[in-house]
Amino acid sequence: MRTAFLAAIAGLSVVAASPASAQTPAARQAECQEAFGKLDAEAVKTITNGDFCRGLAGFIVFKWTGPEAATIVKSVSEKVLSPRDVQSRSTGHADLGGTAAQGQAVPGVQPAGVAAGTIAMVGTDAGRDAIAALSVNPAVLFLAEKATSQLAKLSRVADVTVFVPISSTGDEEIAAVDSGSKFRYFGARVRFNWTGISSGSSVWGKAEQMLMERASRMNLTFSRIGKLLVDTSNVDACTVALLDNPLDDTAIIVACGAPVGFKSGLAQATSINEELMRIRRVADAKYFGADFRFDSGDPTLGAVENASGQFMFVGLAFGRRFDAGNPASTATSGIRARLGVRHAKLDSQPKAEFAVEGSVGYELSRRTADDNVLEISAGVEIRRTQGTSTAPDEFQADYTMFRASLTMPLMQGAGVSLNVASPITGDVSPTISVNFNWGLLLSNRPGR
Amino acid sequence: MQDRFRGNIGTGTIQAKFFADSTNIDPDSLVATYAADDGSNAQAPHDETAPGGSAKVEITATKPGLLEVLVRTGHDEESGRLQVRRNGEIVHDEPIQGPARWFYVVVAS
Repeated sequence: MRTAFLAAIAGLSVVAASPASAQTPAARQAECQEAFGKLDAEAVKTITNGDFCRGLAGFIVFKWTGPEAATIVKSVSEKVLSPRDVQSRSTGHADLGGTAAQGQAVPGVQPAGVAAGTIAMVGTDAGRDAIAALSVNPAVLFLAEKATSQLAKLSRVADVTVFVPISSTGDEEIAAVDSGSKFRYFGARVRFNWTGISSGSSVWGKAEQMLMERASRMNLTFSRIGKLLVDTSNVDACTVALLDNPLDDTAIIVACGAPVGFKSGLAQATSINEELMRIRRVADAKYFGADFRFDSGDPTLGAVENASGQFMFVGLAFGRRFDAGNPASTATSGIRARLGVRHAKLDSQPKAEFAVEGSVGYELSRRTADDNVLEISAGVEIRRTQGTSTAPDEFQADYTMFRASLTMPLMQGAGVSLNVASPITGDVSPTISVNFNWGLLLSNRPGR
Repeated sequence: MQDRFRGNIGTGTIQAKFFADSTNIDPDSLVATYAADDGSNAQAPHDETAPGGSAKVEITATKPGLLEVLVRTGHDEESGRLQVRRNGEIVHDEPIQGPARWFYVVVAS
């Protein structure tokens, strides 16, 4: 409808703004120079190649895009990319996977974007305890400080977590075992997300593409204006109309003979930002990687006597969140799974034992803001020891466990999760924990 | 924003460099955007610099088009020197304060 209306106006305005076919190019350039000079006597002097119509077209685009440029360099709506725009925000949790305070039904391997911390209060058969965990993404922390493709990749690839109990077993008198040391359990984790390399590339590629699309749009507008100025019958009137009515094609057609179709970059800023968010969500909606864990001490936190030892886990983890890129939906679902081998050497037993350990789970999440996700998940975890365990209780050799977790955001990068685990088979302690999670976000401004 | 129409610049390798003053409060960002008249060959390199350092971007402009050089400072009182070179030769080299844009019409050389 609007197109037909503009076409009709263009037809009627042919007489008023018909091409100056009889005019020589030199005369047209003189007209453009005069019109340009009236606008800005200094700017016209910068046109050194004699093509004043093209220079005037550039000047008009310069004027039209001034507010947009001011937005880019000053506000946050269509800013130059900041580190936060490209960093991973899929997880802000330090990994307590495999401990009594595990914060997800099925732990994943998506690393912390920069650094994350968790303080977990956990209850087991042995009593109450608290565990602190700190995850750092060393590559991002020490190498990447700018919004670059390197940052987009590194923030999604790997992190290291260390954790220690920050209390004794709570009530030593009710613990089944007293090791005599408060610092009697610690662990370390390395999460490696192979998918992070490619997903980081796609986030960065899209971001850069959006900046280039803006440059292309600006030049197409420039070309249309340049053609109008060459073709119009009245350069002065056309110039005034263009400068006064950048978004009003009707007025431009009347004065210049054809429309420009300029769309404000300010209006596009919102959609550009939304697109960047969507791409980042899609990129962070899947992972496949490795999970390396080492624990020393008593992983039952005193619930089982003589359970202290050294434990190592090597496994693979996979996760996928569905419909993450749909801007109309804030709710998503997903699956998680992991499978690996655990090597356990108890202090009280002469022989080490191997076990297969794995879990599978389902999650539902709702995005309340770009960085905030409300998530509920449930899963089943199993451990099966090779052969017959010499000390099944101490090794926690064979069990099937139901796990569930509810994570609620508190603010950007911080949240709380409530986690429960209950054995279906096997003699292991049920657990309940409340985890306070904090994740560091990079600067929302360029270069910081 | 210091917004300046700088007129013609010839095709070629165009470099923009921003030297941030050491007294600046925080890092600043430099970005250049370029595309040919028909919208092709779009480029948008960007770089950041800490106070006292410099950021540099480079455009290969093979055809006439438009070129924008943008400096994004975190604070209006932050300053530095913006320099634009074409094929190694300095075209403009001036101090700026606060966010800035230099706008060029790229012409055949």
